[in-house]
Amino acid sequence: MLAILPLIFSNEYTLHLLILVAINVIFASSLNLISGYVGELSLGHAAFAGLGAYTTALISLSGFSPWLGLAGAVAVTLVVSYLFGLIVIRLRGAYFVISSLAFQMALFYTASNWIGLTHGPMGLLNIPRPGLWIPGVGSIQLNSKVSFYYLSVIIAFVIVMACKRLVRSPIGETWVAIRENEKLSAAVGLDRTKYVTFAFVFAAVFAGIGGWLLAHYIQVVSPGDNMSFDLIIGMILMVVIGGRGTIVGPILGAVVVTFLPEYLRGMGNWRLTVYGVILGVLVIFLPHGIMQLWGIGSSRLQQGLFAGLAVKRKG
Amino acid sequence: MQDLLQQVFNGLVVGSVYILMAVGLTIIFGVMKIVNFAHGEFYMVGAYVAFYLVSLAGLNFFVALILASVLVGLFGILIERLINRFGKDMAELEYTYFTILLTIAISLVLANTVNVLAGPSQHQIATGISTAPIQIGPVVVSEFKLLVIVIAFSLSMIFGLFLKYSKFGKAMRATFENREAAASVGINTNIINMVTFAIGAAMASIGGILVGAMFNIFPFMGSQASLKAFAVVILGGLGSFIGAVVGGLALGIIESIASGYFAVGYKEAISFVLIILVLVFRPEGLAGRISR
Repeated sequence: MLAILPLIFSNEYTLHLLILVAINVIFASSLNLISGYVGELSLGHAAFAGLGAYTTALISLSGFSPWLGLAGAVAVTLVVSYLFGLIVIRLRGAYFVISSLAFQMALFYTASNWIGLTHGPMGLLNIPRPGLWIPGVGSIQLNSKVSFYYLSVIIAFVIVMACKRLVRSPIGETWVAIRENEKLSAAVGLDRTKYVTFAFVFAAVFAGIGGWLLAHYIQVVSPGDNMSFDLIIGMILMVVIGGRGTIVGPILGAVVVTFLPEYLRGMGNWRLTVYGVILGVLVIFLPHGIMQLWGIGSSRLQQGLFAGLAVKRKG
Repeated sequence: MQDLLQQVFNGLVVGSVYILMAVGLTIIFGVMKIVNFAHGEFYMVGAYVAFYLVSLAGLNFFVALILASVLVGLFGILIERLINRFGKDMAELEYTYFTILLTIAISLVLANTVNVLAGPSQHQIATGISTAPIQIGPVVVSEFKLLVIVIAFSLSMIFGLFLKYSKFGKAMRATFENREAAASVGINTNIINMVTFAIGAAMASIGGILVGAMFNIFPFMGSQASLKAFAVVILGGLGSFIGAVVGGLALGIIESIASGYFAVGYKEAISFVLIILVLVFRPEGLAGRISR
């Protein structure tokens, strides 16, 4: 169905929004790994997206292929998230939240001030679109919106599937076990640091890939667009509106949050106030998001998990 | 040497404002385990209320300062009631999520509403107090900057003494230590919550008003102040009152001295790098005990 959408909505603007939805699905699904399944609210997630975007921008503007930029974005987010993880994974709750925010802000100010590398607030411009070699067709440049749409949807689909596989694997079950009862999970021999690091690094790398897409789509990378605190608010909104700790939730959230501003356009400057009100009402009355309407609260799904886990460990 | 002294003085002034912000943030965390992302908005709303009290109602600056901080204190109680009403029976993880997201929502609503209603332009609060430079030895100061330091230090000293010696302060500290035990010996933790929020909000608003009189006010001034206050409480140790005072001073002076050596823009990054360093080497904070 996703493949034929461009045929139905052939106008450029709708396609533009659909591309943004795909990219936002990547951001929300990856944030959901650490914040939904593990349950540590990361305010540094946008920084990894920005790191991916800046890495590929610098690589492809030096004349290398954007695909090398993708490899670079993955490598940089992997290394940085692992190193930062060494510090932050030991922390929980409020400490985790504030230190991840500090990380985000440190990168934001670096991107704004390291003019020699990043051009500061002006950002890096004219980032090229990636090319693609298709057997039988030859090499094409993904310049049209339709071609970029397919690229984004394919990558988003692969990442959502990867998240699903992770979550359904023993690793993902362990995340939930740690979230639901840390003491018990430690007692049955689960190494929190190891598993939370997994989640943190996976989430960061996926965000980096999303950042790569965004950089080559918008073709501009700047601190305001790629590193700011507003971005993380948007990502959190998606996860919370959709339903954290579920696979479908962040996808729904990404759709809602991408299209919402279009519907709120008539409200002018009140838009962000309305955002805040929606977030506030949701966390009070629908803390598990849209998914809760179907009775799929994240913790309800996982009831009896420990029974299963204990049996598995024994066997 | 002369430069250094001047930078230390400037750091003291900025640090005074950090203290006013951080004390509230840290006691709110200590008592209620809330990371208050709307704290910067108390600071911003206070500054705007005082600005309008002075410029429209023509009140004296000090009257406006007191009135605005009382109003923002009452507003803080309202927020506390909201959080308490919906969050009191939540499990720990849900509560952390709930309080962080709700305070982020409140801060979005407040900052953007002020932005629409008052407009994005910057204002300065008129005080009638001289800001003319005065030379004291090698250091250039001004009457108002000295006043800022005096206000911040006397308020934190009064609050510190109140915490240490008054019956109510002791009840507050007991609630920091162990909420259930405090409730079981007859301490009304609801009242403690409300007073904590009121004092925290009022002190933040005084910080905002002083900044608004020294520099300027604008609708999004709160977010940066919040971030700085987070840096301070991490430096000092989350939940530690002394830590907030020491951390506020330390951050103000470090930033000020560093700005003499680094490009101006990097000054803003210092606090966040410090947070990360402190978390690596001394997660309980400079003055704190572990209250995780």
